Amino acid sequence: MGDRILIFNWNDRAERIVREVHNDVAFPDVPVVVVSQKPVDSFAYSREAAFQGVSWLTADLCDVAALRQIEVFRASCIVVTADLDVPDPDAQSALTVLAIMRAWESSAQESKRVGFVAEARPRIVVESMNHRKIELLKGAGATEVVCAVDYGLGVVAQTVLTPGISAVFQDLLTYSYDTNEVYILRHESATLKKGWSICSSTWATTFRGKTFSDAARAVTARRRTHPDNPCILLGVRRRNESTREFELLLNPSPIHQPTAEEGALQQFGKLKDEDELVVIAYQRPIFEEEAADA
Amino acid sequence: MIRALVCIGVAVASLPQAVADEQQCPQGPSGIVIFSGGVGGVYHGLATELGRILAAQTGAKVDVHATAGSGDNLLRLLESTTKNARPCDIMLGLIQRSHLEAHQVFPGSRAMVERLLLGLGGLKPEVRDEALRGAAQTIKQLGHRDVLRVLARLYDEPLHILARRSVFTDSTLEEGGPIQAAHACLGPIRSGTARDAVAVLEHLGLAIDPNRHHFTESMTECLDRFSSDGPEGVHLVFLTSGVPSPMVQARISDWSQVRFLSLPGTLTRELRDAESRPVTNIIKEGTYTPEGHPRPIPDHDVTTLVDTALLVGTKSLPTELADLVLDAWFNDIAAHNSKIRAALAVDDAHTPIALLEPTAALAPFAGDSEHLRLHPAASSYYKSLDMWTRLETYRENIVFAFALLLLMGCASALQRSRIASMDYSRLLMLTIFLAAVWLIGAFCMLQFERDSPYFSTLGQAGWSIATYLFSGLEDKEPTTPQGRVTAIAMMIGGIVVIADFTGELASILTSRRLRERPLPRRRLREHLVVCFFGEDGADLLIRLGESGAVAGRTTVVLSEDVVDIHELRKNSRLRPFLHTTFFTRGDPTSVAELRRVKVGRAAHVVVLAKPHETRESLMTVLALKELFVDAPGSRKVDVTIETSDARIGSPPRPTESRWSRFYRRWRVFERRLPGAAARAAVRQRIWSYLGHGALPVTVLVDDPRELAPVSWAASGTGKELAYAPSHRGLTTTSSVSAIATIGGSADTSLRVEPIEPSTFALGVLAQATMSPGMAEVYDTLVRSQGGRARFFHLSHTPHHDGRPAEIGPKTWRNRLVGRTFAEVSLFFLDGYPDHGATLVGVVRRGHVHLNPLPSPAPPASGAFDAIEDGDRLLVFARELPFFVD
Repeated sequence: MGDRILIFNWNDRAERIVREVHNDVAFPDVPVVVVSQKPVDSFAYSREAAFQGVSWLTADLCDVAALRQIEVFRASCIVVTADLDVPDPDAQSALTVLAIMRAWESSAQESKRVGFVAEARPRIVVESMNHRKIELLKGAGATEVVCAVDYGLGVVAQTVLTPGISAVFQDLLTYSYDTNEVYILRHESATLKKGWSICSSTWATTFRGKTFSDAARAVTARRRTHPDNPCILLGVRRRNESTREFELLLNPSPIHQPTAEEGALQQFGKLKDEDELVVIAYQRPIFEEEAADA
Repeated sequence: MIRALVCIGVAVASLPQAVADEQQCPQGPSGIVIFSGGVGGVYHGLATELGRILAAQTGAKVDVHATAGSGDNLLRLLESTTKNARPCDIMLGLIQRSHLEAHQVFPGSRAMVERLLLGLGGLKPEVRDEALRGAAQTIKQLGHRDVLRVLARLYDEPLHILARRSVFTDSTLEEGGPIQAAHACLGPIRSGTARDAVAVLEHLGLAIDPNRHHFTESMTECLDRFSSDGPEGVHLVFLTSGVPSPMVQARISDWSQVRFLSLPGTLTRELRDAESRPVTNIIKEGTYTPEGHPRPIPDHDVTTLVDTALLVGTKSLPTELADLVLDAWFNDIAAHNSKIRAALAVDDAHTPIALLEPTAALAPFAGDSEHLRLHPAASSYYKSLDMWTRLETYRENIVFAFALLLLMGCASALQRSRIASMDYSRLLMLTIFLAAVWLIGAFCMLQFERDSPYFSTLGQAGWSIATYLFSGLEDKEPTTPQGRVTAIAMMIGGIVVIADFTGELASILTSRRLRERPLPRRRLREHLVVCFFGEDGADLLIRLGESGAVAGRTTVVLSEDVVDIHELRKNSRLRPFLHTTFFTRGDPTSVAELRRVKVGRAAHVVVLAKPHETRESLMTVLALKELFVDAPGSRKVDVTIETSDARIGSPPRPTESRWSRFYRRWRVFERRLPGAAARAAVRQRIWSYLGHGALPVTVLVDDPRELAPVSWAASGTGKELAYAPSHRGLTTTSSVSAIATIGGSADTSLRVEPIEPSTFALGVLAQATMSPGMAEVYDTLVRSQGGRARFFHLSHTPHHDGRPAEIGPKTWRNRLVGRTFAEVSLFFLDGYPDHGATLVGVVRRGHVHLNPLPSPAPPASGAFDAIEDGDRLLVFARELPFFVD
């Protein structure tokens, strides 16, 4: 149950998420559990390959007991899509997030009481309809909030800066064999779970202690050995030592002097062990031993 | 509305009187009274003759009353209308025109009385006051009502100033001359002669001195004193006409001792301006010289005042009786002309008192701005005689029809022009409508109230109608039932139209104050145009401002939505960018509006989504295409869209101007001629030279199914587009192919990027599901602010807006062209490590190749061999890098 994805509310957007996640290029084997207030006619989807491995539950999304019963906090990711049938979808989503957090807290307290290890805080991704409420949803407990209007306006601003750039975003956001996606690469020793992309030896020889330019050069040189899945290094995710949260450094420059607004973290320096690489590629790249030769 | 109701009530109450005014006298006149001048004078002679003819024709009793003169006649006529007048009496008087005008100009006032009775200064105070009281009483009884009507213009009578040669050696009457001490006879009080004489003396700066300036009971007495050498004798006498009459000839035997005095030009101008006298004239030398006389009389040309003798009747005079009088005057009296002339010693040589024929008598009344009111019978009589009047009527009709057609043409042109889409178009339409109402009202009143001085001509009626439309009746009351109905309609129409007009004007002014800053016409170049504003407009402006997309640029927001700038100023994030942002109200789907905000010179256009209004985005794109139909390579195509989306409805079609249609047809024909490619290349060069490039347009749509129609509308590369359910979903290629179509639409002058936010958001959502932190990555990518990395295009050719190329031509030619993507990437990393620029893609023929695959590798769609000459590079960097030679 720990690798499953929970999707709250069933609608056309949730349907598209299932199709994307179960895309051949993405994660076709990840189990998905759909939790909705109203019963879903699952038979209509039973013959589609994308919906194989999808379970359907009906529950009150704000009922803490029900959420504890289905162990929402054990999921790898909880996606709360907006319920457009209610007057304020974001308020409803906030209530659902609060219920999930309450279920997790009560479960964690109970685990501590009986001497078990408490579950990690669940990762909740929320779809917002109003970008002005993103911070409220984060305050309620959402890990990441995705707002269509927010992204749309951002892309529009980007197209004004660089006409034609929406095609790049469209390319990046579409799971397909002939389109690029953004991948976050972790090295083997930095993650306890499976899913690493850079083996320890390659990390040690090619990336650790190197500047961003050196790392980018190494990634570019890999095009010769992997012509079917070339990568481009875009940036680095680095953990903030004070907050312990990851922060994104896109294309960090050694000569760039960060402003006060950007924070000292933007002074990149060299790659550290906890860093993660942000690349674009056609498929998730794997830096195994041979990559070190490059 | 209250005013209109009051007017309706007044009009209804007045109807019986109006009907009563139209009474008939089938049995003819019950009595005839004519007020003439003194016995022996011209007035008296004419009145006697006219009375005799009328008596012969009707059998009615005729009374010719000898009076003091013109002023006396006027007062008696006025008095008769209130006292003993019977409906079928004919009440007539011979009155000087200036006297009548004084009555019209100064109705009911003391000034009017004094002007009627000029010469009172020469009377003893008690007599003067009594006379004033009596006259004032008469006028008071009459009020200011218009009770008299002119029936005929009889003849022009000059003012004669006869002086003794022994006293007046100079022939011109001037201030400071012998007139200062001369004794003068001013004629009978209440006569036109006395009125003129007093006016002349006053304008010469002389106060009326009873010892020197004498009023008499009759003209005869005046002439006797002029001929007398005794103590009663005078040196000067004033006469109006009548010089050849027996009364004058009998009393002045020795004309050699008499001098005719002339008025100086300045004095005649002053008198004309002050006294409302119609004209001045010249009495020719020798006009009155009897046969055998040794010297001509007068012996020089004499400049003097000329007044007109009028036959005046009461307003209530029935039309058939007025016809009778006119017929008697203009027809029967003509038959007795010789008898009258003989009686008055008038002959053809004495033109100053020649009786006027009807056609000549007409002239002063027709077409000019006379204060005098003609009796309806006289008016119709004149009209029936003179072609000029008919022509005048036709002319008015033609002017009316032409003006009405012109207004209709203006309204029609306005509806079809680009102005129709502007906010003040309704105001213009209301103005035209108001002008039409005004014109129609004036024409109706001209037809119904032509006899009124306020409606005698089209121009006069138009001016008078203005008071109905904008203020009220004032004193310009219509008299006919039709005129009253028209006046009521005008007042109601005026209230409605003016209220609408005022409301619209206030609306425009208020809305402009709230929503609009005047567009900076000179600065509108390389600006950003945002079509539609909606709920997300403010956030877009913030994004654009914070990302630096509008740095140094002007932003123009074209939207029909209400934008409260004062409210926007409260947003601290938006405030820094508002000083370069201009809001203008207009419909972005209108070509005229887009042209108004100078889209042709813009650097970029953003079309924001109107929720559930697919048509608006489509129409805006099509309008932009219409605007760029002149650009080289652009194609104008018919649009046919088939869709399952019911919101799209019927196929949208932009309004195509006549010029555009002609140009499109010409281009179709021109392409068939030889050398089309060469001509297109020349046009392209000229277009580039003029600084025009393909206009980037970003269209935000709120439904993924709208991407394809917008793309298709922009590129126009297909004939039709059918929607199918398979177009849904991110994994299908519909959206991508739509964008690819746009990218490949190099033959259009628009580069349209449709963006559907939910597609992006769901992509992020799906990727964030399995990759923690992915939402932040995309959020950072789309939120590039100053200093953050973002995408840049690098070109080796200068940009159309004058910006230099980012890559030098030598560097491009020697180091980049023909190299693989990996080699160029390493070139950037090795050769320019400080730039921090990462090559991420190549733009080739408008299509973005992101992270292109080497050619041998599958799939072939993304295959890429080497950089070509026409390519542009897409890099990811913190700031725009330059690779100079």
